[in-house]
Amino acid sequence: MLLFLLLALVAPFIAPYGADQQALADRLKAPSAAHWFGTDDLGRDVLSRVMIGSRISLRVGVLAVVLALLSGSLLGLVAGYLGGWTDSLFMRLMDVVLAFPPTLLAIGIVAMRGPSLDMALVAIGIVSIPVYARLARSQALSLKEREFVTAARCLGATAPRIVGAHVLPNALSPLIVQATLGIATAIIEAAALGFLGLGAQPPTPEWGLMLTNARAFIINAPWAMVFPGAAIMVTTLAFNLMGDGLRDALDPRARA
Amino acid sequence: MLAYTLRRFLALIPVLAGVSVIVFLFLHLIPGDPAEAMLGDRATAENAARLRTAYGLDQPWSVQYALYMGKVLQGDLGRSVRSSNPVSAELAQRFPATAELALAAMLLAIGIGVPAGIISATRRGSAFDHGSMVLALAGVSMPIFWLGLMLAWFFGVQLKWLPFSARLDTGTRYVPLTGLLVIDSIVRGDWGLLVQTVRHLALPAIALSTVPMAIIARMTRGAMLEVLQLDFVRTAHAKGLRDFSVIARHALKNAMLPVVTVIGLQVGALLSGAILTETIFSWPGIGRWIYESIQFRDYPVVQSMTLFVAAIVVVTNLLVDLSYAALDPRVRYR
Amino acid sequence: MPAGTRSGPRRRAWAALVISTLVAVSMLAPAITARAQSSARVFIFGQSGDATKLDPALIEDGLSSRVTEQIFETLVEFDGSSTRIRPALAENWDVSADGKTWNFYLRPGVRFHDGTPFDAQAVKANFDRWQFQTGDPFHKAAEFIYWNDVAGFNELIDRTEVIDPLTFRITLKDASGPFLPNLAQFTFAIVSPLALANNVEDLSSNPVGTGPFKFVEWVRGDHVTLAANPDYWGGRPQIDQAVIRVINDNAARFFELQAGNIDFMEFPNPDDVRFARNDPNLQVLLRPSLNIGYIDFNQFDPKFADARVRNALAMATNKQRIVDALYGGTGVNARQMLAPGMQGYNEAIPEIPYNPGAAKEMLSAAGYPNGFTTEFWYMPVDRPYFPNPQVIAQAVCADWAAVGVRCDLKTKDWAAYRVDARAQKYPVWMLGWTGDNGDPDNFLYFFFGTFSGRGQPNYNTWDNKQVRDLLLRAQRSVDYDERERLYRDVATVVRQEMPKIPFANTTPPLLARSYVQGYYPNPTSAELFKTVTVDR
Repeated sequence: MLLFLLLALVAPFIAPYGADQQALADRLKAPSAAHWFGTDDLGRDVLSRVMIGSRISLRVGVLAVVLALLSGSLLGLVAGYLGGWTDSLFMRLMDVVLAFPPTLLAIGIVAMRGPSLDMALVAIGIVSIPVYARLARSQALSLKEREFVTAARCLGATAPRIVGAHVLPNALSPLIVQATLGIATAIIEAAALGFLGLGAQPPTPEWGLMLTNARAFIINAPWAMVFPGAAIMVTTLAFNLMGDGLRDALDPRARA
Repeated sequence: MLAYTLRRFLALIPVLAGVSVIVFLFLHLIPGDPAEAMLGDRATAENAARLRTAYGLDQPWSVQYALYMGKVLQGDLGRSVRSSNPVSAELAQRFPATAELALAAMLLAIGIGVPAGIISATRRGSAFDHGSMVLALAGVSMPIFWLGLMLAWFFGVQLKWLPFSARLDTGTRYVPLTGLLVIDSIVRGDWGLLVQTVRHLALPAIALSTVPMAIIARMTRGAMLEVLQLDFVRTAHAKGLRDFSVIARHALKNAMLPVVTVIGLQVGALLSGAILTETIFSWPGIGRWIYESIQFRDYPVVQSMTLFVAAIVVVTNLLVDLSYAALDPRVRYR
Repeated sequence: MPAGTRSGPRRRAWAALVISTLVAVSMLAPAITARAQSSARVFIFGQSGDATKLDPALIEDGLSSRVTEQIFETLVEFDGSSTRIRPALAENWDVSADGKTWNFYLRPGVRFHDGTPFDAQAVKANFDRWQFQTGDPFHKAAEFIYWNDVAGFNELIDRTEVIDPLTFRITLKDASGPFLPNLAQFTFAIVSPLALANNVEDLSSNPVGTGPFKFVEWVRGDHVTLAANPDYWGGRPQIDQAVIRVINDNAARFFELQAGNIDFMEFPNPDDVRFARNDPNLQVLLRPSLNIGYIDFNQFDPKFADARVRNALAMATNKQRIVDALYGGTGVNARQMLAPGMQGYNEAIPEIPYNPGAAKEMLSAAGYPNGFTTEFWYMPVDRPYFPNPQVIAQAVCADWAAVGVRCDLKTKDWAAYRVDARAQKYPVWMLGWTGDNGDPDNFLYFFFGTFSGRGQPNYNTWDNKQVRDLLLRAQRSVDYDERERLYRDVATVVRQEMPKIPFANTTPPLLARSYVQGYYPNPTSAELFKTVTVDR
C-alpha cells in the first residue's frame, strides 16, 4: 500500500519515458529491455503510462470517496439524529439512488455534461452516497440514545453541535473502513467508465482508457491490455487489504 | 406479517416514482434528442422539427411526463422511437437473455461462494482458507470488462474451448417457451440444445459471477465465524452432535441472514455488470439495449427499461427483507 | 476447532468438485448440435450492431440497409463494385431531351414475396407513400429523410404516372444530375403494396419485397435470418440462407471470424487487418473509396477565421505518417474534399506538404508566434474514415504541439457530438462523410453549399459565396463536362482557403473466410448477397 502511494508520488520522476511521448515507428512493440511493458499503438511506453496513471486512479478513487463520504455522512447523520420526516425523506431519496444500477446512473450523469475525468469522479461519488448515508444513519440511531448524547442534549447543546461534537466522532470508524474499501470500488468504476469512453480524456494515461485502446489490438499486443488491467487489480487489492486490516483493527468482534 | 408486507409494497411506489422522475429529467438535460439522433447528418432542421411534433417531443417536459406515466400506469411501456417496436414486445424478447445470464451468474456465485465461505470458516487458518480468501479479494479487485475480455481471448480464441458470443450457435433455430434456454431445453428433452446453451453461458456467466462470488464468500466466512463463536453452537458441540449437522442445522441457518442480505444487494450490481458483460459477449439482453438506447436518445426505451430494472432491484430487496422472517424466527414484523 | 470434525465440509467440497468437473467436461465436449444443418449453404455475416427497422423508407443506417437490400429492390441499382447504374426492377429507361420526363420500363413477371404481382401500380403506390407528406395513412411524414433531405425529391419531382402496367413515368420540374443515382439508394426500394395496406407498422419487423432473399426471423440484438427466394427473377441465389449476426465488439467479431463461426465481417480494427493479411484462411476485401475524414474549423472563432492559421495547421500535421501507422494499410492521405476517382476530383491538386517550419512561420505571421491552446473534439465512435478517432486525434495533437498549438482533447456521446458540432460549439472537430450515390454534389454541397450564419445550426461555418454559386450551378446541370469543370474550380478555392483539413480517404476493409466468393464490396455499402457463394 505504502509502496503504491510512494510510486504514485515519484512516478513522474522515475518513469523511463514521458506518458505522452509518442513514437509511431515504435508502435506495438513487445516488452523488451527498452520498454519493460512494451509500447502501445502510438508507440508510448506502457510502463511509464501505467506508473503515471497510478496518480490519476488514486486521485479519482480518493476524491470520489471523499465526496461520497462527506455528503453521505452528513445526510445520514442528520436523518438518523433528527428522525421523523427528515429521516423518511432522505432515506427514500437514498432508496431511489440505490434502485438504479450504478453503472447506468453514472452513464446518465456523465452524459449530461460530456465525459471528463471530473464528471466521472462526481458520478462515482454520487452513486456511492447511499452506502455512507445508510451507515452513518444507523450509527446515529444507535448513538443518539446513548448517555453522553442525552447528557449533552440536557445541557442545552444545539442539534448541529451534538451531531458534530458527539455523534460524528463516534460514528467515524466504520465510515472510514467503508471508505477505504470504497476507494477500491471507485477505482474500478472509474476504469469502467473510461472503458465505455465516459471517463478521462486522452492523452491522460488513465488505466481504463488505456484498456479501451488496447482492446483494439488484443491479439497483436496483449501486453497493452495485460499490464494496465493488472495495475488496476493490484491497486484495488492493496486498498481492499488495507480496508480489511483497518476493520480488523477497529472492530474487535471481527478479530475474534 | 401480511399487513407489513403490504405496507412495504406500498412504500415502493414513491421510490419508483422518484426513479421515473429522475430518469425523465436526466434524459431532458442531456443534449441531443431522438429526432437529432435518429435523423443523423442528412436531415434538415425542418425535418427534425416535424419528427419532434410527431413524437410529442415539442411539448413541455411536464406534459410529456404526465402523458408517459399515464400510459405506463395502463401497462403501456410505449414504442421505441428507433425501431417503432412496442417496448414491451422487445422486452419480452430480450429480458430472458439477461435473466438467464444473471441467474446463471448468481447460481455460480452462491454455489461456489457459500461453500467456500463455510469451508474457510470451519477450517480457519488452513491453506484452503487463505487460498480462497486471496482469490476472493482478487475477485472484488478485478474490473469485470477486463476479466471478460481476458476470458474470451484465452478460452475462446487461444484454446478454442468455449464460444464467446451469442446465446446459441449460429443457425440454431429455436422457438422460445419460457425464453430461458436451459429450462426450455430440459422441458423439451433436447440435450444437444442444453449443452450448447451451457457452453455459450459459461464464459459470460463466469465473468459476471466473479464479483458477487467473492463478496458472498467473504460474507459467508465472516458470518460463519461469528456464529461459530456463539454459545448455542458450542452447546451443540458439547452435546456431542456431529460437526456436519452442527454446521448445517445450527450455524448455517443463523449465518444465512447477512449472506442473504448481501445476495439481495448483488442483484443491482449484476444488472449493472450486465451492461458491460453483454457488450463484450454479444449477449442480446437488456443491458446492452439500455446502453444503446441512451446513445440513440430512445426516450421511451430508456425510461421504461430503467423503471423496469429499478423495480426488479427494489422488489428483490424487499423479498430479501421479508425472507428474514422465514430464516430467523426471532425477527418479527408488525 | 476439535479434530476429526471435518468430514462434513470435506465431503461437500468433494461433491462440489466432482459436480463442477462434470459440468466443465460436458461444456468442453465438442458441440453436439453441428453447425446449422451442415448440408445447407449458409452465409453468416457479422455486423457491428443491430438493424433498427426493416422498412426501407424509414431507415438511414447501414446496419438496417444491409438487411433490407437483400429483401427489397430498387428500380435501378449500383453495378457490382462501382457506382455505375444498372437495371434492376426497371429493365430499361429513357429520358426526354430536356431531361425532365423519365420513362421506366419495368421487368415483367416479377412477384413480391407475398405472391402479389410487381407492376407500375406497385411502383406508384410506393412513390405516393414517399411523396405525400400528410393525410397518407402509410407513414409518419417526417421520417422520409432521403426523399426530403438527401435527394430533394419534394422540390424536384412534379408528378408520377402509370402509363401501362409495365411503364412508369416520372416528370421532373428541372433537369437533375444526381436523379438516377439517387433512385438506386436503398431507401427507394419497392415494397409490396399489399403489405403496406395491411399493416404498415408490421412492415418494420416483417418485410415483404421482391428481392433474392425472403425474411425468416429477427431475434433482436442477435441475428436476422433470410432464406433464398426460389422464384427470384434473376435466378435463385447460390446460398440457401443468409444470417446477419450482431457482434458489437470489433475484436470479438474478429475472434469469431478466426474461429470460423462467421464467414464475413465489417469494421475490423486496423491492426487486425494486418493480421488477417497473413492468415491463409482469411481474405481482405476493400470497398472502393467513397468517403473522407476531415478536421473542421469553426470560422466564427477569430483564430480560425484566418486562412493562414488553417493552412498552418494543415501543414503542421504529418498526415502521411499517421495514415501509414494507424489505418492498417487501408487509407490514403487525402488531398481534397472528395474521394479519389469521383467525378470532379482535381488531379492537379497536390498533397498538402508536411512542413512544420513553414507552419510555424505562418502562425507567427497570423499573430501567434507562440501558438495557442484550443479544444480539439474527437468523435466518440469509429467510422470508416476515422477507424480510431481518439488515437488519431492524439497523434494529430502531438504534431500540432510541435508548432506550439496545444490541444485540449474532448468528446461527447455521438448524438450530442453531432448536435453540438452543427451548433458550432467546437472550435476544432473531427468528422467525416460517406457518400450515398457517388455524385460529387452529395459531398461538396453538403460541406459548403449552404451557409446559415452564426448560431444557426449548420456544420458549415465557411462563408464563401463564390463556392456556393459554383456548387449550385453544378447541381442544376446535366452536362458532364460542365459539372466536372465547376467541381474542379471548387477544389482549387478550397485548397487555398483550407476551410477543413482533408485528412484521409479510406478503402474500408471487409474480412472474409477465404472460401467466400462473389461478394462485391461497393463504395456505397450497397452489397448484395445474391452473388455470394460459400464453398467450405
